[in-house]
Amino acid sequence: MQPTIIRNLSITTKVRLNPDFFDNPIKYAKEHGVELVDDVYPETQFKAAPDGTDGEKLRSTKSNIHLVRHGAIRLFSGVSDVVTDDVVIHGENYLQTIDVNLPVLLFGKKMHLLSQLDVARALTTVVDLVLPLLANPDDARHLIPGLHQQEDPVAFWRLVDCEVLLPGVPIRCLHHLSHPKTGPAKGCKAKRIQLGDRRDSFMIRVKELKHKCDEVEDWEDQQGARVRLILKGKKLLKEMGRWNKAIRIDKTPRVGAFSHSSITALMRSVMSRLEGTCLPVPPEWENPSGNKAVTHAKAIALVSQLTNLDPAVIQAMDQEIREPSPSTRKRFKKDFAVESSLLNPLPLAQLFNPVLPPAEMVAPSLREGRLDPEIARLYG
Amino acid sequence: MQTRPPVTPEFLHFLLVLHPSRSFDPKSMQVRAVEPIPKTNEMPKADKTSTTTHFRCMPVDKTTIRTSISLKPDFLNDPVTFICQHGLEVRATKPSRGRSKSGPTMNLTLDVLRYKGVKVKVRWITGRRWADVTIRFNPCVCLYGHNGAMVTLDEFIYALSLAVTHLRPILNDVDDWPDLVPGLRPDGVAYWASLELLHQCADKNHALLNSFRNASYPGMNNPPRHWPTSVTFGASRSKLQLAVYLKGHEMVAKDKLPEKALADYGNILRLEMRLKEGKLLTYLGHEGNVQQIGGRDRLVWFHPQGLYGAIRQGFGVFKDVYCPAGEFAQPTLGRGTQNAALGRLLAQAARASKSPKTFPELLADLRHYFGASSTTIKKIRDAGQVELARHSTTTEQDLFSDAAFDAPCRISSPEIEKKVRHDAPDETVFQRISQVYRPTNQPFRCPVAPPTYLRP
Repeated sequence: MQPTIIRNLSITTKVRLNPDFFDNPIKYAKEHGVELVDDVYPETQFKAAPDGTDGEKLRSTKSNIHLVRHGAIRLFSGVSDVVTDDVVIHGENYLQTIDVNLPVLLFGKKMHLLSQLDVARALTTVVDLVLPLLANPDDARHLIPGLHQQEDPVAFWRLVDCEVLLPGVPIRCLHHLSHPKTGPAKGCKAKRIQLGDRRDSFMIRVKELKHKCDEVEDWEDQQGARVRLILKGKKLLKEMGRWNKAIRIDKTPRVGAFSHSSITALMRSVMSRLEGTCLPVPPEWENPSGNKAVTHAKAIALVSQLTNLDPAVIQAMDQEIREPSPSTRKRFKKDFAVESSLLNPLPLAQLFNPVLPPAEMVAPSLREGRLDPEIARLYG
Repeated sequence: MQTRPPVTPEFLHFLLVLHPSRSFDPKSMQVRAVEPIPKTNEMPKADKTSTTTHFRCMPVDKTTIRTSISLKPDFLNDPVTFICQHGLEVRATKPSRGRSKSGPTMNLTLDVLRYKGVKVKVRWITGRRWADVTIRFNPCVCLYGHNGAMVTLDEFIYALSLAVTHLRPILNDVDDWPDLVPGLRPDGVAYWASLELLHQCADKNHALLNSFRNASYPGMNNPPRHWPTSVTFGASRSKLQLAVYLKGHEMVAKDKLPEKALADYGNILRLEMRLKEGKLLTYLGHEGNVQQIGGRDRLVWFHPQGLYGAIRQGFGVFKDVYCPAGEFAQPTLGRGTQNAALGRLLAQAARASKSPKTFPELLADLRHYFGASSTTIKKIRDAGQVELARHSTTTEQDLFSDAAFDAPCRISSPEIEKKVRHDAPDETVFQRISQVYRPTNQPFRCPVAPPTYLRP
């Protein structure tokens, strides 16, 4: 198995933001050195005012704040009007989620291998960048799960999105994909196979590789597949629970700090339960010696592999359609045995067996930057 | 004996708005039901003697209207305050910034009405008078909160009038409202940019869905996408897309229907045809309803007959789905017909219940593993399609008959429907839209009971 690439991580928290920021985000960002990508455009939702109030609609506002570059860090904040004693009070703006795309943040690319320290380095950057936006700088400890949180923890991991590459495995060679957590693949397509729905907490998506990954040698001009795993909420807690101790927030178990190696272990564990086969194209078929690319013997051998139908059943269908002569039947039987022996399906899970020792599964660090010692201790 | 439906003042007003030429007796509160809408979800057989030329339903789901109009500067400057001050029926507003050929733009998205069904996107360049407005309008969601029900022609006009009534306050000149609906002005700027047409029918044992699974759409190179209860033909950005899915199952998956409702609605199959831009003209355009707007031909109005014609034309090309009419002779295979034999074999293998692969998928696999040429694949496909059609039990004539179109299957979701409540739209708006969208001499067919969105 190739190294696991961490893509997106998402944190749930509840930290009060500085109200001055929302008065004029661009000016505030300039004055406080915040790497704001664009102005903030809040979405306002209206609700009918309850009886007894002055009749003005209640408002709730949600905003996305993009930092560094689009797709690198996205902060989601929200504020709602509250009714107390028939009086409408405007609430305070709280930071609710932090979405970080590690390769985009550190290297400006959607796909890039990360070193053992890169996760800690990226999280340090998140803290440094978000700190000026907080109403109370002491709340910085509530930005990263596990950070200085011996008491009253607030932040926890909401989503982990990681990926592994399968060079040399064309997606068309993967068949009958299924996972105990999702059932059979949905939305089968020539360029994408998906297990689980986008709304599900457990999703595996296999896609044809288009983007070149800088850190994988000899990758160009190779056919291959990208296998992406997205885990959220309780499913994330259950899968991560094998390597990480859960933290309790409001009496609910949540995912706290994790190490880079536990993501690799998580990926391997999930993929070891992936069912299905990889049926490579036999070399003899890639360069057929005769003129005919398609013969009945080859086609029936292939169809019986792909449909799980008994070869005898398909042969019976064929004989009913063609009514072949005894000599043709004899020849077919011989050819069929030869062609069938060329097809060697591999269990899919086998493709994810480690080929490198765990220590070599991460890239050397390529990026300099500040490293918070506490974050490095937790996530290094 | 005639039963008396529950007549409310709102319902009477609704009927009078729909058909002002009709008279109702408020003393007796009697409403005569003329040809009530059947409740059955069984697919009616084709009536060969049928001479119906008018349909009671308007088979549209999501639609997009594009127009250019002048909006109130106060609204554009501070939409939140404007909405609160004028008490507009807007649920949410979101500003953003964009780009156009003429320079950077300001964008604003509005969710209009108390529940769902109308979403408006406004795009303008600061300092210019005219704003580009895109209205995403779903008449069924507007009135029922979900799109499993089928709206009648009257309801379509009613929902469109509601949308206009609630958008009028943001116009710089309220008399410009006809520019919000395509076709109302002879030299108007509004046009239909996309339409989703639909037909819902009963599909016992999902036989028809399985037939569509093995089908190919001629001329579409992208392979169809398959999910357990649906098939979609055409790429996601394609101007023509056809989707076939079990509507009840889709609504359960989206929490629009409780799972127990599948006992009633589990077999309802929805055929959806999604048309955009040029394809709208191909299937719906004629010299009367196409107009030059912004240098391009645009669709400006349609009638139900045209929509049903488009559905027949769009879905009629699936020759491998429908059972051919009359006697069907199985082709005999002689020498040089190896590919044809293989096509029939693949079709039979795909139909076998254990098979997880569809006929188009097997063809794609054949191409991948053998490097078979397009000519070979075509020969195999053609023979396979004939074989698939031979096993079909549905005829095109039954599926798309006038009778089937006039009595489509409907899904009711009381939990959602009870959330939708509308005040009546402006009557002038309704009458003006009716003049364009109601075909002349359309017979009056009164609804049996008050619609749920007219609850007092």
